[in-house]
Amino acid sequence: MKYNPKYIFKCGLEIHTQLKTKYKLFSLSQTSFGDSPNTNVSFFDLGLPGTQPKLNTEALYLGLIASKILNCQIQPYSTFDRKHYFYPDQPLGYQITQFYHPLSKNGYLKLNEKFDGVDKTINIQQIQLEQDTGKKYNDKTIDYNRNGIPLIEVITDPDFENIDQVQSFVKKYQTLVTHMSVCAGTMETGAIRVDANISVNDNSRVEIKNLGSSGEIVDALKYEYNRQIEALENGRSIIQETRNWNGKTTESSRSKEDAVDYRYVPDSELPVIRIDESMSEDIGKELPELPDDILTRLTKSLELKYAKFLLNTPELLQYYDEFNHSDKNKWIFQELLGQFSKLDKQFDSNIIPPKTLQEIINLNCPLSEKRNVVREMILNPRPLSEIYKQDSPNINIDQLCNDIINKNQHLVAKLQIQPSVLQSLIGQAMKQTRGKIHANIIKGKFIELLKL
Amino acid sequence: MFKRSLHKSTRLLRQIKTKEDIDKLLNNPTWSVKELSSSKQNSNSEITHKTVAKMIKLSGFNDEVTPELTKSLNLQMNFIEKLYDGEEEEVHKHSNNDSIFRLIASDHIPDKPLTLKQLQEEIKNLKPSKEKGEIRDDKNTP
Repeated sequence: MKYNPKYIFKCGLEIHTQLKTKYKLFSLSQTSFGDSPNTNVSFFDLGLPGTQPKLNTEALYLGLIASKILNCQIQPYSTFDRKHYFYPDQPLGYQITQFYHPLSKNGYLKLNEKFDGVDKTINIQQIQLEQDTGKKYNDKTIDYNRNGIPLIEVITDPDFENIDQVQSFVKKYQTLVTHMSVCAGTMETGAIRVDANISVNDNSRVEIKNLGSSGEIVDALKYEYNRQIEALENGRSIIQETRNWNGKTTESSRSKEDAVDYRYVPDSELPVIRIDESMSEDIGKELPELPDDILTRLTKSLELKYAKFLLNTPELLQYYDEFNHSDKNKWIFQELLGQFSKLDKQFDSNIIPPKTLQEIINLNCPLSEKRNVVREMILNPRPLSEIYKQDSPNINIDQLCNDIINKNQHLVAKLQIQPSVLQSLIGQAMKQTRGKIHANIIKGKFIELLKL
Repeated sequence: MFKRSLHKSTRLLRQIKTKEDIDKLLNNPTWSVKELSSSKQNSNSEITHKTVAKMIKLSGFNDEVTPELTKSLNLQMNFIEKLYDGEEEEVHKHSNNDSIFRLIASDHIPDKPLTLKQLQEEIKNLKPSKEKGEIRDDKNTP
């Protein structure tokens, strides 16, 4: 992206993030994604008379975790407000949000050159809790399953100086909230949606609503930056307005004059949230390792791209941390993941748990055979003992082989001239052990005892 | 205007001593709704056809804007502005909504601030209610 040095790019984001809760924000209806329309709706979710909201503490908890990881000050006093507008996606006639006293304020997220490709601190104005709206499919169908799902809206300062910074921030934010289990999904499932405010040379700002993927954010911002420059070059002024991205261009949806007047009023049914001053510190103590700390740890022995891959695949990261071996990078990335990918299978740690991989490595057989075991386990998942018959603790191989040697002295005598006789001895041992011991192990033992 | 009237009334009350004083007071009004709603005086905020149209839209109605509606709203605005005459210090837009009174216990008898331990305990005790329609009835699901 080329920037015109005469026109300074400036941007701020509003990120709506669905929280990974079992229940909705003000009712205890399920939040599961992809269910049949209108199956997860309580009476309150439909705005029926006589129903009242009650804050789901799960959502409050996740909102507080988000506040902590984005370095925000958790407010001792926060309240809910009603934001009024008429549209069928919210049956109450208003959305419950936090306008005047949000949950937390004054945070930041640091981007660093090493991990994010850019050095920059983005300040965060506030984080507020609010309800998601229903989903309108066409003029006749509306699905209220999404209505009332808890969201946090994260509002940044207009600190972004270019689109790379925006992109890095969104990526980092997404990793952070997913890794900390604050958010259930990704941008692709609509669990994270972004509004971007963009201006050039401090002219009026334009808000682009509802960007659903990192690609859309980049394309919409590029387009809008160039559109605003062109307007200014042609002597037109920029009107403060809201625009929508249609995949190719941004289209005006409403100007400031026609802006919706939301008539915010305090919600008369929801009590004040009072948070103890110990909350921030106590949450901090319970937080797991943060993504940047994990990357720092992993990149000591791994390339950044592998470290990021592990970070974004929690199941694999856990596997990596549980598996101990001096050559663990080779075993996990080349042998294990290599085989999964060759066989076009999805990695599943249950098929070969770290302990089993360790056992495979310790098998008394060549690498090629170990590879076959891994392959076989992925193709037909079953316990290692069923795939690879090995020494059973009940059988004394030394004694078994010695007995066979003693009873078959005539065969042993032929060995020097006819080496294939060894197969006959091995065959006897296999028969006696009913195949419980691998032929290679028996062969090794005979060679050792007969000093062949 | 209200403040002024209040000051005036207090002063007047002290002067009322006889029945005649009361009669005199009641028969000599110091203001009238008609006077205050008179549209002759300049109003700071003129209500136009466009304003009324927007208000109707925001209220979710489809009704048309009639000249009577616009005129009536202008008179009301004029009346309200006069009520606030001389009380400029009281009329300003609040940057928060704390001045709005809510009849909710938490606003008047503050709860003990929530600690992490309490919050986690409350989460453990969450239980959907059938009465509130929070439990899915798969038998009746289409």
